[in-house]
Amino acid sequence: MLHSPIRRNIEETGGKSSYASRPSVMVCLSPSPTTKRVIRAAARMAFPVPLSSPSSAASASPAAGTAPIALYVGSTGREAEENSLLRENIQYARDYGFEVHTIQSTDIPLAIAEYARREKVTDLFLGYSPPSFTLLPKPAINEKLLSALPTVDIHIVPDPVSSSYPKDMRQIRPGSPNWNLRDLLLVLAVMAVATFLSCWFYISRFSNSNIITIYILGVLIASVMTSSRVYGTFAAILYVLLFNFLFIEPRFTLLVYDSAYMMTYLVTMVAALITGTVAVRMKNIARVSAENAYQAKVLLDTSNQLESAEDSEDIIRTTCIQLVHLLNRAVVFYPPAAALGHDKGDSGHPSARDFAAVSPWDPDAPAFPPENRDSPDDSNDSNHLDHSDHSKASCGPVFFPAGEKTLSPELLGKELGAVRWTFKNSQTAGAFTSQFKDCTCRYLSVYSGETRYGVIGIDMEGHPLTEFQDTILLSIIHECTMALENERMAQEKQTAEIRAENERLRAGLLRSISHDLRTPLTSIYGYACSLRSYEDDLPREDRDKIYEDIMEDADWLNAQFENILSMTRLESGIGIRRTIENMEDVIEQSLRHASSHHNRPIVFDTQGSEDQIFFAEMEPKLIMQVMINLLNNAVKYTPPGAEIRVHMERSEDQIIVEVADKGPGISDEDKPYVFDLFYNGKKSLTDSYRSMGIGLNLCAQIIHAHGGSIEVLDNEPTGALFRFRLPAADLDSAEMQPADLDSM
Amino acid sequence: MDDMKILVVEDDRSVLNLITTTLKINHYSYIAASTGSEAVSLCASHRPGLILLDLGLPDIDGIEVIRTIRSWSSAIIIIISARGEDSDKILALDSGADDYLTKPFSIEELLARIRAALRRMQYIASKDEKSPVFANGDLVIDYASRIVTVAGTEVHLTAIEYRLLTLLASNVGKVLTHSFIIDRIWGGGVETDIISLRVYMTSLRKKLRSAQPGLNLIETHIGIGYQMLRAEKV
Repeated sequence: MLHSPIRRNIEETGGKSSYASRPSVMVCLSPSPTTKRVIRAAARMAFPVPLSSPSSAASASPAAGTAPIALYVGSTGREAEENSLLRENIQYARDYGFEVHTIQSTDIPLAIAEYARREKVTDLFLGYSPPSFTLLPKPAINEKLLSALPTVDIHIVPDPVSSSYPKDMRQIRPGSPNWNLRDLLLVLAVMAVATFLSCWFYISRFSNSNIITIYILGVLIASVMTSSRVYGTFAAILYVLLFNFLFIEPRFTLLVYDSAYMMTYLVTMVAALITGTVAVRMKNIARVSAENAYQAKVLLDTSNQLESAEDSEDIIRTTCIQLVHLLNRAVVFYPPAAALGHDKGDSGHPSARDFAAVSPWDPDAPAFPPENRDSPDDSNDSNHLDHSDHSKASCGPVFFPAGEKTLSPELLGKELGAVRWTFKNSQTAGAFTSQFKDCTCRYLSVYSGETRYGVIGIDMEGHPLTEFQDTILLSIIHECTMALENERMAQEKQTAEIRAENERLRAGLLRSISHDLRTPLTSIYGYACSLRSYEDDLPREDRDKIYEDIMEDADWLNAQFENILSMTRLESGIGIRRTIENMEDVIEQSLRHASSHHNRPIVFDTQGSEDQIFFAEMEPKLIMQVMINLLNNAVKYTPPGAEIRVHMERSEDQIIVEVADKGPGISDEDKPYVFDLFYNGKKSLTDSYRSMGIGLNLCAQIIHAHGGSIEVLDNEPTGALFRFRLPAADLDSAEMQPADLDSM
Repeated sequence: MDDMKILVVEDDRSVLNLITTTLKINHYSYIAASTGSEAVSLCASHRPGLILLDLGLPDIDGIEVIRTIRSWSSAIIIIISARGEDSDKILALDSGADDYLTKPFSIEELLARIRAALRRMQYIASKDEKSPVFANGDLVIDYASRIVTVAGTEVHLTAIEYRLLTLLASNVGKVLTHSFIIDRIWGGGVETDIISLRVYMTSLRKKLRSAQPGLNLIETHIGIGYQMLRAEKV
């Protein structure tokens, strides 16, 4: 090959080792035809696989984030719009898989050096810039770069054709005439005013130098007010001609008697040109900084909005709306399911939802599930389940119209291939790109590393975006991706935290359960052994005590087993079926289960009129478990003979149930912790085997799961009172009033 | 009914031992089986009047055993199952079982069920006379005049309540599942019918109870169904 890289071997220790082992390549773009060769040379280094065509390069592009960079440093930021060759080169670099960045700076080598340092570039590719014959001879860029980047390998690809540009290439250099009627009229008007003033000066017999000053001022004003340097030059020529024609003897001719005026013309003309150039440059700088400020503002705005976005849907909506504002073009977003065309089969085009018409962002709709790149694309993989879960809410693309401009779903249906390709390859496709050129939209993939979030489509309306819009577009999408990534990470972190907390609770529960189940088992086993061995030797009352203890322990074991079972059911949700039950029946059945705790009569009364119905939606087994736990608890603390009161009443839309015992009650400082897991009124778990505090915690969990509340109060005159409330079921249909039916 | 045999089908040796010991102490005659096929053949050869059947058998599914026995025998079947398996109970009751006992159960509970089953058997035996009057404790239903009285007081019932009551009365002692009742009263059940059934049942029980406070002839089996208990003293 023709290129001969100048390689500066680095001897400094640690010079290269601080960089990634993989070469990080950056190529500098210019409007020169050589640039294509530079890009190819850089691509060979960046992509070790042999490449034959740009498209194969694109498909073999490395993972995101490690893409090589193509940098263009412009002085105005508008070169790409004005120069087709530069545009071509930028596209060429993109096709090769480079990430194109455009920056604005007047000091090109410094900008390149800064950028290369920031991006930790190891290999820099440049085209050879021949000594140019411009007005200001520039020092060779490569010389400057060599001294600025001592640790970077700089490869310079020479221009094999000639040291200068072909003629037709030079014609389209920046600043080529671009006449525009408004500017022309402006120049003429300014010069006319200057001429008018000069005439007045002339009549007033002011010296010619005043007239020259007026004209130079005119040229300056014309340069500042017009869009190109050409007008300044034009104004300067006009000034010389007018001045000579109107005020220099012989007047009204272009002849000059005094040859000294030739010198004046030359000097003033140069002065006019220089001031004009300076004015244009200042204007450009002002425009660039205005654009930069605008870009910064838009990005800041976007990132502020993204920061306050609540979920991934919000992030995507914010991004798309921001893009619509920025570009004033209609935007469409394809969530992963839609991008893969899962609903393609039914109608050939996605089931479209118009953002303006129906808001798909209702809070109930599930978030767009990010699609993992690891999984195969086909719908019969394991991810398919996830898609079907979400397909109802987020299968279709979401449209963001720009004012009147909307995208028609039918049209987009034809471009699903491009969407799919974009999504799968995490690349850009569509109008004005190398892939799917004939699409009306440009499709950009929203992805981060392995996770793909979807595809954003932008209606190109038949003309490309400006380089500035392109840059800001990519920045916004980058922001969006970052926000999505953060959101995902936060969610993952939260899930991990919840999981860790659950693990901790589970471990504690297991420890507590194994301890608390073994203790009564030990006593049952021990009693059985001693009864077998010494039953005859034991006095009657001792034996009775043993029988009672065995029964009590067995009861306790059974109750705890039921609690564990209920807790498992509540956690897993398996076998939980809510029905509308009569609370009275539930309480009565619970009383039958708890009534084996003799000697402590349980009184059940309800408050309300005869036809009062206590219906509530519930999982009856769990509510029974609550009642049994509360009753067992009451029995445990109530002295024999004392009565336990169960009371039920209805207040508006709630059913209130109270279980009151005559025990010692619960001290105020313990009350807030009564429903905590493992809390048994004492700090230590090992005090007694009756410590398994899951009973009341389970009650609270069950009641809360039913949308109710539970509290502990003091019973009068002594004891504790547990009160829970459940939302009453609303039975207002006609069939619910048996009294209205035909009586016998 | 003195020569009535009880067939105990239970594969767990110690539970079987507990049940047979209890039966022995209370002077019931019994036969024991530990597998489903043994149960079926013993049932065929010994014609027991009452079967205590554990649902979790090692060879045949308990439901299959019920269906096989029900195909020729009208013996009362009480199933024994672990709590939390309501669907199994419902399936067993719908397949022809009469009552159920939940593990762990106490001896008192077991004996009460056996006594209730014996009363039911007596009632079935005496029912053959086609009496136009059903009497259960204080509850009297005169089928001919469609009048329900509790302790002599007439109770006014709606048509559906009356049908519910007669359905329970004709199956006294047997646990009727929700779907069975709905099927008989409304003919074909949908989900909301369970709620209206509950409303009618609540109303029916209230009316019976207002005629005689403390009367609790209809027992609710949460998640399963309803059962009319046979009063201890007829």
